[in-house]
Amino acid sequence: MSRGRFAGAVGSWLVALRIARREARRARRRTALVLAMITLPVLALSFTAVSWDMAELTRAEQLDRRLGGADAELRWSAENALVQDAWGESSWPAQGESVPRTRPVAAAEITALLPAGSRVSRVRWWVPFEVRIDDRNVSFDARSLDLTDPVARPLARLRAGRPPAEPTEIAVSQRALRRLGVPLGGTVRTADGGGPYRVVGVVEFPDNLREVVAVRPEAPAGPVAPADESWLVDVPGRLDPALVDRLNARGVTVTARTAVPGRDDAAGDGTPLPDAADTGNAVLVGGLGLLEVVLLVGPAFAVGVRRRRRDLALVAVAGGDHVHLRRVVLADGVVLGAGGAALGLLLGTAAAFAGRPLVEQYVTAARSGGYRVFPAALAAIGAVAVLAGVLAALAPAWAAAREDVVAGLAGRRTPPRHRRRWLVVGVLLTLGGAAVAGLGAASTTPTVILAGLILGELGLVFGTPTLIGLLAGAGRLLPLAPRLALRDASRNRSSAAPAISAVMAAVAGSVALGVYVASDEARARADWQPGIPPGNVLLLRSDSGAAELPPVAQVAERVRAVLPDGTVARVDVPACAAPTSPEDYCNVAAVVPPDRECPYELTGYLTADGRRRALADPRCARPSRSPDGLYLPALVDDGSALPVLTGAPAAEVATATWVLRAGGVVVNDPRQVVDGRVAVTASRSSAGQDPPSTVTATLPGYALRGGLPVDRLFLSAAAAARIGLTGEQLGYAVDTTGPPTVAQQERLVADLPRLASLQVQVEQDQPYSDRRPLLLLLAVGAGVITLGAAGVATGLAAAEGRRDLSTLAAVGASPRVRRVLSLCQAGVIAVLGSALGIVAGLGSALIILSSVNRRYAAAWPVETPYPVVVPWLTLGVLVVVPLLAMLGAGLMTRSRLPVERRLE
Amino acid sequence: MSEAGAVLELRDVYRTHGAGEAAVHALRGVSLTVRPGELVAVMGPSGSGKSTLLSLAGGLDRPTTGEVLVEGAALGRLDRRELARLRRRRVGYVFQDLNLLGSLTAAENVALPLELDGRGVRQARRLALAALAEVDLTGLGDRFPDQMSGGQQQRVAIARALVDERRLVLADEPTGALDSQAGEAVLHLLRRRVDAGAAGVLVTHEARHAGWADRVVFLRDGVLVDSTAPLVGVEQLLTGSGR
Repeated sequence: MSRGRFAGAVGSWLVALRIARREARRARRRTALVLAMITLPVLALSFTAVSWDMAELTRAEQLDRRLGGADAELRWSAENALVQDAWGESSWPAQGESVPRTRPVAAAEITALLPAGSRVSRVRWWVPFEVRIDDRNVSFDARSLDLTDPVARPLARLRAGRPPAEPTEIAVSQRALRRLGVPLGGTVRTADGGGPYRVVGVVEFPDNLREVVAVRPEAPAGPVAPADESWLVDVPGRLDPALVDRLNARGVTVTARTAVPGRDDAAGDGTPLPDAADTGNAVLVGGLGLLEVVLLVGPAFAVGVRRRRRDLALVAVAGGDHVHLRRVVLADGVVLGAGGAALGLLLGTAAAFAGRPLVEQYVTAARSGGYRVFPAALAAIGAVAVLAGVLAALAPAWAAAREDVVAGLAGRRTPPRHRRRWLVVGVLLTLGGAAVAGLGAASTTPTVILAGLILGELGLVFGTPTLIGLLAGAGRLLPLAPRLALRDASRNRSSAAPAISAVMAAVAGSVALGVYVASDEARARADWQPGIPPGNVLLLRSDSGAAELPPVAQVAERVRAVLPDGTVARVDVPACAAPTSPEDYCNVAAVVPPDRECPYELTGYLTADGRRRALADPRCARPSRSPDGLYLPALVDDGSALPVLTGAPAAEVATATWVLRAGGVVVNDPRQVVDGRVAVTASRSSAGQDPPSTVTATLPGYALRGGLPVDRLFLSAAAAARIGLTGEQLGYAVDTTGPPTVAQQERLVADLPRLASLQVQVEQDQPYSDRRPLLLLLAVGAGVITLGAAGVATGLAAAEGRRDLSTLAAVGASPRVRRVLSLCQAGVIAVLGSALGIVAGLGSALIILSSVNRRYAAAWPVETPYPVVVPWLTLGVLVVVPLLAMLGAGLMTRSRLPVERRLE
Repeated sequence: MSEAGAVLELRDVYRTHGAGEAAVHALRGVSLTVRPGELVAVMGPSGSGKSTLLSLAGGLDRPTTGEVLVEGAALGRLDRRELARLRRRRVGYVFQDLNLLGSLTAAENVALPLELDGRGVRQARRLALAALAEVDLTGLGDRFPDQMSGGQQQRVAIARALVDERRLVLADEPTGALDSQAGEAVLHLLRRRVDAGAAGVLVTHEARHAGWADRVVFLRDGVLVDSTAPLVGVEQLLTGSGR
């Protein structure tokens, strides 16, 4: 660029920015509108960025929380020498295999390794602490440490009372105090009968603001591996690197306040690169958000350009060429983008500072580090906001540069021209986007799917102006108000099209995601395999198994108090008979004969041909599978629990019971039964025995064909004994004859544990997932954008149409006309945007799901296809929202027709 | 070949809007020459093509056929960028009203073509203030248009049309929105500038304003029907009964 041209460019930018700045002050409402739309997302993003940055602790802050008042933290994790990194975050054996330290560590052992005069304090970061509250066992995050010791004291902040000084004293967090329901000074007992513990203080651990209990190191804490406990040490003078070497040689890792010299400092190399796919998705979602802001803000710039037609023509008269005119409008985008960015960053940062205690309490559940901002993120957010402003002004700027100067001077408007090339671009982008999304779905690459959807939406954005033109032409038979509204939208396409596109993009995204979520939920439901008949209940022992459980009759009596028709059966699972040590573990399975086994591996790779053959092989059509619900693969039973657990027909239950009582086994897979017999293999693992020993026996067997198709093996007691097993009571199964109500479940949960240590588990007929809130949230998000876009566009259209309204008033139109016109203007934006969005969203979802299903049809192992489920909840909201937008526009419009005094 | 010394020259210019039955012939075979130091008044009834003639002269519009030359440069051969440069450096425009950008001060409005042309802000401002002084608006450079009277605004527009070394001033009903006293002052300024060596075209429908011109041309239905010294049979020509 020559010097003269450069000077010209600078000069014209200066003029353009000056005009934009002053214009922003003159058109205050429009400025406020644009600022709000840019400021809000910037505020939200900068709030998140600053809050995240404050919550992301520096190494010094992390060490403060870990070391308290100590010089270093030691962890005795190995019996042999190890090598550690500079911060003690990772270690590996100096030679050979690591030998983990399992023996408890005594304070004296640690002190012996340290210089004379050193002090140590043991901290266990997690110890069990379960308290019975309202008939339930509630587990608390408990820490075992001495808060009276100056070395450990800084780990927590004392809020009230004093630190525990006796083993029977505890300090708790504020939330834990509330949960325990005792006052300061009150006592609590643990669920296993431990205590009582007196609550002597309220403390706050900055790394955990949830329900935390601090117990004394002397309090019984159960087995804790040495690697899971820290020793905070205070050494006289500085921590000597040679001491670290000596400690490492004994298997102790050291975390000091400064990096240990001469060690790997992996963390010092900077943060690891983010995952490419995640980054791609984030960029695309951010791009979609940017597009939404651009589309929402665009109409305001378009209207601004129309209102300043004469000003722009005057610039042309004064010698401004098309580049200068574009700059004048783009400068609006720069000024308002920068203004919105500055305001958003300021408010977002202030909100992050002001709202920090709430974020700490309810989001991160931890105290943040120092007050600081995140300059790189804020700069990026600001730059994107300015970019959004410029992009929003781009189309109006382009249009402004093409305006006829003479028409502009005369106050005439150049009628918008149908530009076939934009329609062609739109159609190509839509088709290309659909193809890309389909490809992405077929290869299950979310980034590609998202890219395709965005391309498709862009295509629809390009095609919208043409569609409005067509609709306006078709509106000639409509009554006055809708006809005027359609024609206005067509004449003011530069502002109506982005507003419609904004609604369309939001609705399409919401519908596409809604269809996916609803279909996924339907698929998960169709795929759900309960382990026992839905509604039936398992009462499982929750203790270690030492105590004898009460007899069935006693439990049945309690159950019938809640479920009058309930029947109870004892449930036993196979265990090793005559174990030689507590570590002995036995496993049992029925064998499928090799000639009946599916020859294709489920986990291995299969070629397309291999997949086809596997799908066609009858041996690979499994009659039963692992359940998603309660899992009971093998049982020892005499036929009493079988009907409760399988839901098999009575005739089959009778035969199965007969087989069990005759010393046989019952399975669910007919392939396992050969000539009325089933081969059963038991394996036993004992400490130091590798491989495990196995026993196989061929026993009389029967295969259930009715009932739940889940993998299951019922062994009679005799059959179990044949293969070195015995029955061990797991608990009880309750046949409820119908799903218990929530109240009945709560009563069971409250009543039964009084009888014995029993957990109540009710089998569900579908997975625990309720996506309705998500669907509603999606719909509400799209609805808010629809209302916003319709409101903005209607307001702008009303401001534009004042002269028309004056004319209407002059020819005798009733005041009601203005209301109806506003209602129709909002309707054009909201209805058209929603309708297009719903069609686009459904289309996108169909493309994606059918592509995935096509791939699943040829997949091995067999995958359940996605049913296409229309999210009626989302669609319902999206149909109602345009009506609301119309109603709102009608109600919020003054019915008095304006009198135009002067042409501006 | 342009007529020697002419600042503006229209040669057999036709301007037709639209095509076929909907065609509107705004100018039909108009030829006109304006020399330095000459102020030509263009008169004619509404819709006769006066403003079209001015738009063509300033390069805001292009003739359907014929040629427009400014200082010898054929505008038809210039692209949009070159035409814009011509307006920045050679041509000044004054309209009936709403001549100024509301978001620029008087001085900035005057300096606008200079700044667009890449002149430094200070130099442009200095020249603008000088031009404002020339139209008796010393001290009002930092006022915004809505802080000025209509007459003052129009004088700012003239200052912009005259700033720096502009050779052609095109004025479209520059006194239309002003009272007679302010209107006379504006025309006086225009005359003064033309006397200093510029060429001027003044579109007006008031015969007394045409009296400031050296020559009056009359347009009717896009045709130049007469070219004469001012104030001779003006009324008859305007009503179409003069010839």
